[in-house]
Amino acid sequence: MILKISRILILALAYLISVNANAQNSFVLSGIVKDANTGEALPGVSIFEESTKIGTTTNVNGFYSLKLKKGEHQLTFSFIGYEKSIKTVNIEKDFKLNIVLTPSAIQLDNVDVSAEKPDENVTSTEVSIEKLDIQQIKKIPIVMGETDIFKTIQMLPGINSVAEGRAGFIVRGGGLDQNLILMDDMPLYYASHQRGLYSVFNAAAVSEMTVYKGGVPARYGGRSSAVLDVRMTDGNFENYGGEISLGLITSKFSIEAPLIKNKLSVFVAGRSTRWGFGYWSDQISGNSTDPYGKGGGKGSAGKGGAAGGLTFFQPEERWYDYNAKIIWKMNDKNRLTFSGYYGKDFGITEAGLTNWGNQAGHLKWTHTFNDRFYSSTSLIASRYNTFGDGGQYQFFSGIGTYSFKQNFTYFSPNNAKWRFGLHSEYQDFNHGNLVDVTQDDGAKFMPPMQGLESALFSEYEKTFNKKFAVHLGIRLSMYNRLSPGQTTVFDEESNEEISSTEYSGYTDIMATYIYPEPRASLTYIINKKNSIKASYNRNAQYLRLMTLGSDITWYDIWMPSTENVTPMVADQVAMGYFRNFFNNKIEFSTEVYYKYQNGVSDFEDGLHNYLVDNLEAYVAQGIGRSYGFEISIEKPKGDFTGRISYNLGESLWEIDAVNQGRPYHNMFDITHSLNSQFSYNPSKVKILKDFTFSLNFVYYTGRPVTLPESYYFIGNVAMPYWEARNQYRLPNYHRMDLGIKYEPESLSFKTKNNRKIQPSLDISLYNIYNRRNIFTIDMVNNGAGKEGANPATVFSAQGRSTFGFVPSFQFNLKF
Amino acid sequence: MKRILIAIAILFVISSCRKGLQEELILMDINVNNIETITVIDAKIEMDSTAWVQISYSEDIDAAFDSIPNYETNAVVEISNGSSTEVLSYSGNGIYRGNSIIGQVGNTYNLSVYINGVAYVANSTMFPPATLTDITLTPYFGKDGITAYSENWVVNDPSATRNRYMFEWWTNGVHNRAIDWAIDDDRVVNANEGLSLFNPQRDIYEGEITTLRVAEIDKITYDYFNMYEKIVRGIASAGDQTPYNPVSNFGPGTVGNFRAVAFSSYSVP
Repeated sequence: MILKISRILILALAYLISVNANAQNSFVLSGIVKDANTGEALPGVSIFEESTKIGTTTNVNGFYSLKLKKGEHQLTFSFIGYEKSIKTVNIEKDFKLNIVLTPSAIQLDNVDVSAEKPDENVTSTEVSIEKLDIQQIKKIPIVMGETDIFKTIQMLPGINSVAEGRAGFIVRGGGLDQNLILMDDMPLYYASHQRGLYSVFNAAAVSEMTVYKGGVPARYGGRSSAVLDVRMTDGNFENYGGEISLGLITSKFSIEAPLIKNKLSVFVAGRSTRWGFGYWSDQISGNSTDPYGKGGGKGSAGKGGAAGGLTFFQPEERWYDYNAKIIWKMNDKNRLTFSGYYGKDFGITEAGLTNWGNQAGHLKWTHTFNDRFYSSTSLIASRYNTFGDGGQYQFFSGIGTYSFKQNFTYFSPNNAKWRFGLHSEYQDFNHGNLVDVTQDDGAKFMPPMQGLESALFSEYEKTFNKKFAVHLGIRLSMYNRLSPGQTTVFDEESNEEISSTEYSGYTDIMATYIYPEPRASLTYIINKKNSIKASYNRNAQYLRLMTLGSDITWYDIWMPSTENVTPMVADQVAMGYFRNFFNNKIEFSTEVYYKYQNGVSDFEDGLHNYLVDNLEAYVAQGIGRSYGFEISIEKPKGDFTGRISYNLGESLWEIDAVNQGRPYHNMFDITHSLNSQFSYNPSKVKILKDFTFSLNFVYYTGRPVTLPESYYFIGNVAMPYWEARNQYRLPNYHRMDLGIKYEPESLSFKTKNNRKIQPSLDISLYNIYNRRNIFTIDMVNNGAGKEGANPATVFSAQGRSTFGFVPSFQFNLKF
Repeated sequence: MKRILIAIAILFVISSCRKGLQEELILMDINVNNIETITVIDAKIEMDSTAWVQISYSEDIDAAFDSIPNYETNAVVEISNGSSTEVLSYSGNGIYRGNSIIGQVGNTYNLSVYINGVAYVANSTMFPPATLTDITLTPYFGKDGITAYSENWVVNDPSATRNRYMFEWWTNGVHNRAIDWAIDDDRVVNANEGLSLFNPQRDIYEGEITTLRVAEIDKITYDYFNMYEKIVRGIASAGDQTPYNPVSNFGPGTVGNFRAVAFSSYSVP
């Protein structure tokens, strides 16, 4: 089957190339647009031909291709933040024109840098997609002065946090594990530090990010709800530079340099809680810095944590991470890129001494066959490991994936864009290995598993008659569960094993699933200001995170599809109306969506921890439905920028073995959410021009929770009784943050070798009106039943709040 | 002066930051649905003993505390060992006691409770008593420098099957029914006989006499006590995703458990 599809793809490509050869009245102008200072390729540069009004934009590699008729043409290359470049060319044959754009004199931080055309919001084929560059991200004030990707995307319509300071994010009612999180194409399996307070993305190492809430292109796969694609910063090919930041808890650095000018660049960034002012975290918590000490309180502020008064920043919790990127331009046609990430968290938690972290690497070879045909070949490895040392017992778990990706991009002479390729990923799951250090043997709760996820994909993108744009795609994915291992039949009632079959070899395929995943995005451009868009996509998900609580925790384990747990397949349709006002100064969009998921999973009642060897048997599956409405108004450019978005949605699951088969709101269901973010740089007011003021306001409905309705006594112990799942909600969440960035040009100075040093200060006031938002509710037993106890009620409800008002600052030095 | 102001500002930031980052617990009023009253049946028959059953009802979670639970006083309770049946007598506080049928290893017991024409039925088979192969006390300096001992109880655990155990203990003859018990199973360390299965996470002090009982229990009883234990020890909370109503072998609509158990007993020192 795979072979057949490969042949079809190759034949289709051959046909396209032959069509091109016959088109002799028109010729192709192509080339690469680069930054004059850094030599970096510039994606999103607008290229516009004046007489024919034909235009295009550069791709992620800075490449553009334009089909033009024979004769003279005037081309304008423009990109916000850069000087415009106008070139006149006489086309008599296919022609290559590389362009270098010079950054404009205006400080980049004081303008909105966007990889989009002014009317991109209206004319692009993208539906349910949000793009942000690092300048936009840096405008959002967040806790502890650290710019954070997850906090940023939670300001976008349809995206929410599951709870304050918690890992992961919810997209249109989808589960936390239904989001594919990529850093330069490297998948990350627990993308947070410090239980979710920080994401693993160091803003100093990020150049841009895209969130696909729907309309997911066929080149992405493996998750059923959304994709977060974060791109790391390329190193500078011309000059060295960098930045150092010191904050209350975290400190970080980044440095970029051309090791061989215009040939080899390197970029390195790192963060840690223990550098510089990281020491203050201990002062803040007022506890011992000894990670083995007893003073810190072993209680967790997270799931199942201890009683109040704990500081979220336990001194026992520390982390660091590093990013690196090396780019070698071998010649005009070949480029080799290595991206790497290494992160680690350490802590004393409920499980004792623990550490966990991601390690990932990506080696990518980009090859240019000709002006229209490109390929990229990738080898990617990513691992996530956890370790807990509870004294006598040590616990290990983790997931590792090793993948090969081959992507081709073809710009056809008729200005259509094709992408096609294949992706194959070997997955290796360690579900928990408990080692008794006093004995020789270890024990595994659930046997390790292996799988192979493969896919072929093809995409086609074209605009017809400047009115109708399509982005079509098909992905054919396949999952094989591989030996060694065992397949097990469980008793439905008791969840006990009835029989099992052992596969001891290394070549057996124990289970296979295949799904075609069609994708389509359509845009009808009514005029330059209005468009209507629609999308449909099917996404198959073959692995899932076994999480029990209300948020992702470091010790949750990933499990592949097995004979008992089938893949999840989601079908989503979305439709939207997009309109720009005031010469593209105001962007308005509204979308409705409906998502149907077959194979959503939840745990049967009563499973509390993972220390079972038949975890599969407790996984109950059913269907999920999410639907909603989003509206967004944005002013993306100018001194004053901002965005207000609102989402109305519902997300329901229906699983036979849960909630007595009745539909229930899953824990990712958020009815109303209102996000707003504003930023103002008074560039025309002399004394304030170095300041940027920003403000966030967030409001959303509290997530569903399960609460007991009654109580009873067993012996003298009062027990709560729960009638149904997720019947109630936490109080609504809201907060407002303020941020001030002070970047005084007057304090900048130059070194002996004429290098400019620019200091800046970030001040953030998180949760300015000190709202104590509740992230979970505990039912506290008031001691009824104990001798002499006579409480007013047997139980009382006690909410837990993570953060109040948190002021913070960060000092930055850019060079 | 400027430096002092800066120092004050920094101290303000740090102290506000510290306060803002502290988790707070906030008492809340919750408004939950009224649901039907649940019948609660806690029943057992032990080796060489007669049956014991306690029946009560649930109350609304926000109801004012009444020191006397809502007991059932008019139920008809029968126990059968397959060859004979007896009706248990009511003895107060919702408790019904047997008189003639004595618990014996290997027997399966059926318990039937009739309340207002509704029958609640459960059965349980009595396994042979589990035995300990070793009891180890490791001394260390406990609270206030007093010598204490950590316990390690080693159960004779058959490797071929999945086994589950219940432990109960008395300290100087005192047993708190709410907390002086534990359960464990061999899911982690099966395939080796005689491994440590039980650590009650408590200290024994000089001069104390501990009496320990251990019994093998069936899966539904284990599951029942597993959930019960999570609630009693505060491990399960409303923040968790799944409800923790202990599974009942009386079927849906009830909570509680009927178990036939055979304990073996040990004393330390």
